[in-house]
Amino acid sequence: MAPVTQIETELESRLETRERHRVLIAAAIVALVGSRFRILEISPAEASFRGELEKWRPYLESGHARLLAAKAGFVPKRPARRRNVRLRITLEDRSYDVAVELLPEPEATGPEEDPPAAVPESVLEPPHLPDTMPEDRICRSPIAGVVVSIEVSPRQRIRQDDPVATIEAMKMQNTIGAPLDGVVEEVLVRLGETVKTGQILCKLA
Amino acid sequence: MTATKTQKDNIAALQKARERVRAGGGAERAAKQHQDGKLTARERVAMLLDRDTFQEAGLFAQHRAVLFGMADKPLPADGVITGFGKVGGRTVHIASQDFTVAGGSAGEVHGIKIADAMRHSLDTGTPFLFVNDSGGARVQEGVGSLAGYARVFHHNVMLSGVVPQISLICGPCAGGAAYSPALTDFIIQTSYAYMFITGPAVIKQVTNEVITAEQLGGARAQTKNGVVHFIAENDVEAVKICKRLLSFLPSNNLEDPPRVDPDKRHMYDESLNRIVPDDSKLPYDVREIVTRIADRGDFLEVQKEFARNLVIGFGRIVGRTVGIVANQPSVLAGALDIDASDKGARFIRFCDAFNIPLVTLVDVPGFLPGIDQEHGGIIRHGAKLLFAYSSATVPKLTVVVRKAFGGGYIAMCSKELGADQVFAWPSAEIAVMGAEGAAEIVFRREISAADDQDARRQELIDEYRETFATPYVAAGARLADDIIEPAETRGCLAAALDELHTKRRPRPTKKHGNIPL
Repeated sequence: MAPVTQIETELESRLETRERHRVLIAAAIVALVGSRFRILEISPAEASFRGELEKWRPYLESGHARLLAAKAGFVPKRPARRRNVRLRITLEDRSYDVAVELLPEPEATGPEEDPPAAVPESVLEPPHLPDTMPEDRICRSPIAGVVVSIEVSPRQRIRQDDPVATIEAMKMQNTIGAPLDGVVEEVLVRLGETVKTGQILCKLA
Repeated sequence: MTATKTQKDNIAALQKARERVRAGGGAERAAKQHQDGKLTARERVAMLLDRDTFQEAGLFAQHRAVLFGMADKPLPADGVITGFGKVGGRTVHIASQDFTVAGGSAGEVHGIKIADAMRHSLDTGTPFLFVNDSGGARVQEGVGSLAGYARVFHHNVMLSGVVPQISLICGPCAGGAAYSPALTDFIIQTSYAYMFITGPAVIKQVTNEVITAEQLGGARAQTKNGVVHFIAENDVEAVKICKRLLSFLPSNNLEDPPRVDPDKRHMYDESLNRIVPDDSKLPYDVREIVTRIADRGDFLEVQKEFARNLVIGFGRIVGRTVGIVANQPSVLAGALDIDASDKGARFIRFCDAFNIPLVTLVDVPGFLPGIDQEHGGIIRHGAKLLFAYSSATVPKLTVVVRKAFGGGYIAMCSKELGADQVFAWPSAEIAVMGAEGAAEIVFRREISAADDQDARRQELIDEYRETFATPYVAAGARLADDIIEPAETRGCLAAALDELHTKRRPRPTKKHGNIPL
């Protein structure tokens, strides 16, 4: 298992500072206070990382958070052990203010967990055979509406669930995520265009 | 003439026999199993159960087949390990297919052994766990093998609603075998396992379509269509998910879920006041609310990748398990469609069967309009949601967060559908439809008679919105029990759950209702 390499490759593919910083803020918080916390507030608000934390939690908790955050120029200083703490996280000359609530360790719910038995490496990292279909590389609008923003352009590398476009439908702005990781090959809609359910928004290579 | 065997000899022989059977298909095949990214059947049992609690049944069971050279071919434990043990101190029954023995193929005795374990689950009111890793039916045994499957399916149905049943798909699960997991309550599939009814070879033969087993029935495909509830990276994670899931559930339908480690904090949580955007066109992730309502933010989402416009899963409020059903405004505007209705209805039925109170978070613009939805039978599917909510007798709490329009409002556990308590946030708009649509209908004449139609239209929309698109009209009609500050939500839910934990709601005696399946 090479979690650090995996995150770093991932981070390199994130061209935008803001995107990269979302993961790094998560790493910095884990480095500072450990894994039992919840975010109360982040400013500036666009740094809010919602899903990122869950996605990276296993990696961050495996002790690499500190390393990762340090590479981005972040020096952890252990905050006071209060219930609510405010952190200022400076990454690559940008500062973020985060209000974090520290959670107590969950009490054991049963008999003590056994120490995990030795599990072969091949079982922890099982071979992964391709399970996607060519059709999966096509991003379609799940709903009929008007394109109010397009977030990708050709040759851009994106990850699964990264926003591709926003469709206004049923008086709501619906963000459409990428079906897979990949590079944008072609964007097939224009801003302001009305799309039907199932219409192709973009194709991934 | 041999000397009389001493008990010591007998014991030594037993130990030897045990060792031989426990080795399954042998060290070589076990190594191959590891190489393929899988634990062995016994390792999985050991990992699932608390240490030294496994009591095996049918270790020495043997198949009865004689044809095709099977007579002198012993299959250790007939390819499946069955018995009982404890998870987190609570008894469960378990069956784990051994791929190293004849590819985990299911023969008659194999099926009988699994059904025996299930019978014990039923008799003792304890959950049943079934680890699948099998190439399919043992063809040499002919219809006997099919009879084995059928027996398992029948027991699946007998157990349904009495004890929780969880299937772990940790290898192939093909053909008829896939119906046993489908009949259980939850399916956990590992990333390299696959399940399907007809495989790539048959599909190629019949329809000439070319597809791999992974593409056809891999975790990706089976989570998107809702067949699989949880996806696990590997066997170890699958076991973890299974244990976490069990921790939320009672052992049977006569028990309440275990009350675990009550978290009494955050009864007033100000961050809840800031989640819903002021602009009603902007979406938000409803899981932000869910994790703030649940103890320690601990929420186990079910069917994450299926019908993402409805979020379902388990959490706890002050230690009590609740089933959470929430519209997701960031996907399809949170509208209800065919898949979301199916997803919600089945989850509600599970919670009702196992005494798990329901918490419903409402932000729904209605049912999803569209030809495909109507032609796909949204009437029939949407009705499942109404049926499931109405027939559920567990405590039902509803929080109207923002939009609650029309049929969608009714379906999301509205007061008259049977909610015990309805709380509305001040941002709630409980109405027949959105202000724009409603004003067009209600004030059609007035608008067309006006000199400046657009201005008049906007005026009337605003008027309608101020009068009706608030929770006060609904609260006035007692369709909402209270209007609360979002920050108070967790506290209100906790109090209501406490009030309702003794709820009794007898129903007329009947064999069963007729849910529009």
